[in-house]
Amino acid sequence: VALSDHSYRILLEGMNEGAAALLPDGSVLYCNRSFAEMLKMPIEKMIGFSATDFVAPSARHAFAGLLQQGERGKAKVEITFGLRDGTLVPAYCSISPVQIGELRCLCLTVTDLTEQKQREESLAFEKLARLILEQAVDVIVVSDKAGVIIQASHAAHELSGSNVLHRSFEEAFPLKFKDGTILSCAVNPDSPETFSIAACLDGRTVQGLEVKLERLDGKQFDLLLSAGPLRDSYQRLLGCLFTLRDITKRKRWEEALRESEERLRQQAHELEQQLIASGRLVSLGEITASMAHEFNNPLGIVIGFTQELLSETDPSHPHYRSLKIIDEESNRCEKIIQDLLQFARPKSTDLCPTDVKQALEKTLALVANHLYKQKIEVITQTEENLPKIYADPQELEQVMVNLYLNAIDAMPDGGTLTVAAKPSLAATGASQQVAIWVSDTGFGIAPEDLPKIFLPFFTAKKKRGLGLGLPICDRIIKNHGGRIKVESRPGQGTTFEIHLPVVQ
Amino acid sequence: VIPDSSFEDGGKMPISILAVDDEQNLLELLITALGKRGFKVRTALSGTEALRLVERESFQLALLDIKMGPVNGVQLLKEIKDRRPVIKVIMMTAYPTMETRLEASENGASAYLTKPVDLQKLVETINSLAH
Repeated sequence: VALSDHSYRILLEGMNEGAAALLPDGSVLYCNRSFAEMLKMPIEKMIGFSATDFVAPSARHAFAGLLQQGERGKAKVEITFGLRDGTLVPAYCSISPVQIGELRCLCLTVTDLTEQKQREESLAFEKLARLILEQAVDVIVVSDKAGVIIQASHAAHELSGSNVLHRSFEEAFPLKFKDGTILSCAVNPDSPETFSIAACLDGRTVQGLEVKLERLDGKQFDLLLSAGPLRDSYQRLLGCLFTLRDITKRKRWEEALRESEERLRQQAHELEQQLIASGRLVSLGEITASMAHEFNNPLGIVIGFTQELLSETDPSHPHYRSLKIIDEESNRCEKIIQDLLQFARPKSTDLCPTDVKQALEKTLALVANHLYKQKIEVITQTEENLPKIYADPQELEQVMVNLYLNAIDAMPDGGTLTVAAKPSLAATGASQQVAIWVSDTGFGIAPEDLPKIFLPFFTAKKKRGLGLGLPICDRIIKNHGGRIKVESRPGQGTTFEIHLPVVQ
Repeated sequence: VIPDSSFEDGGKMPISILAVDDEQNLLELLITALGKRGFKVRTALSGTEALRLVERESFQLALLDIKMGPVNGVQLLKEIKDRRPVIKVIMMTAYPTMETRLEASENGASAYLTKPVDLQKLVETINSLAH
């Protein structure tokens, strides 16, 4: 053979690259040691094998193409060899035609790319790791064994509010437990709910520990801390790896959810109470209404006669005082009957644009006499140009007078009645409302009575009324699409707050 | 029959009113209160009795309770208007409903008051209708 020349052999055997002479079908005529070693085959067994057998299945098509091209001229391609033990060897193959005697053959040289690929991969990986560290949404921090930060994600600097590199982790992130104790000062360091860098270096890991961070600028964060030791591929300890996840928003949502759940529960409870009360009232309502009617007529006659007699009787007459009492008490009965009738069969609400200021002034004038008699000072704080509200003027007046009379009753020894009104926004946001406040400086409502005052037939007053005044107010305001609430401090006074929708 | 009030004011004819209600005490109250204010009040405890009076005497005004038996106030209103269309009629009821209110207007009632009747308002209504 032409290659029997000794110096060529030395050259071929000394090459780092694999070299082989192939027949056009790919079977090996000759190969050097490097080629056999690359394919992990004994060199003496290579002759007669098809080089294609050592090509990974995914690259066989490309290799066949290379052989074809090689017959016509020079060609190069990257081929992955698949060895019998499963190893994949990336290689750079170049081929060219060669004439051996009468035989047209192919000369293949193969450069093993394994190391180069590994280097590239590790470079790419390093680059990826750096990108991840830089761009991670979560805070990722690496500290050395002394707890000094040596790597940090961009989010880490943002969370801390300054560059955290070369600062101690505990100083850059002064984390606290929910109860406010500082993490590293935890009372029981062995509890799973504690954390320290020393323990972390000892191999302890924490996962999803809920902590708080208050920055120097006062901004507060809720975070989930995970931490553990960081080792190199030889298991040598490098430091600690921390991740912090910002759950501030989630916590807010959770809190808002909890609050709204609580509100719903409370509303459901109120509704239930109302249903129980109105259930009682549906049956009672019919009886009440007809009874009230039956009382109405005779009472009208009593009142009529009494007033006639009173108008003819001189106040000095011995019967005058008795007539006066009959008159007062019958009027009280009439009021009770009216309340009962209204509660049992409320009239339909007739809404029209209503001027709040006027309504307040008018109703205050109605009770002016009571206020004067009981030495009650009135303060009105009504804003000018209040928007008009949709209301049934008569019903609104009824509510106001009811609240004033309650306030007057609560101040037997005088005091101050404050009536205020100003625009407000609905709890749900956009829709505009007018808020009205009626405050007294009277004896207030006991805390245990406060939740019951809008329930029908509840009354804290010994001798007066049926306990329907405030339930009627409540119903009227609700029929208006508004709401009424109360705040009270025993000994200091009571404030009723009403919100009503304005005319859009 | 309940004694009627009569009032003469220097030759000027007092306004004559027929009050109809099945409540005797209410009729007495009307006699007292309206009589004192210069009205001439005749009363009837039923529709039948009221129609007899309408046939015999002349009235400017009638005050009718709606809920009465066997002839109710609205039926009585129709009968009175049939016989004496000039009589102005005020309806009174303890059970105000839209239906009776419409029915009263359709049949020629001039006013509709809710019981217990506020005497002041009644007097104002009578005066405004009579003049």
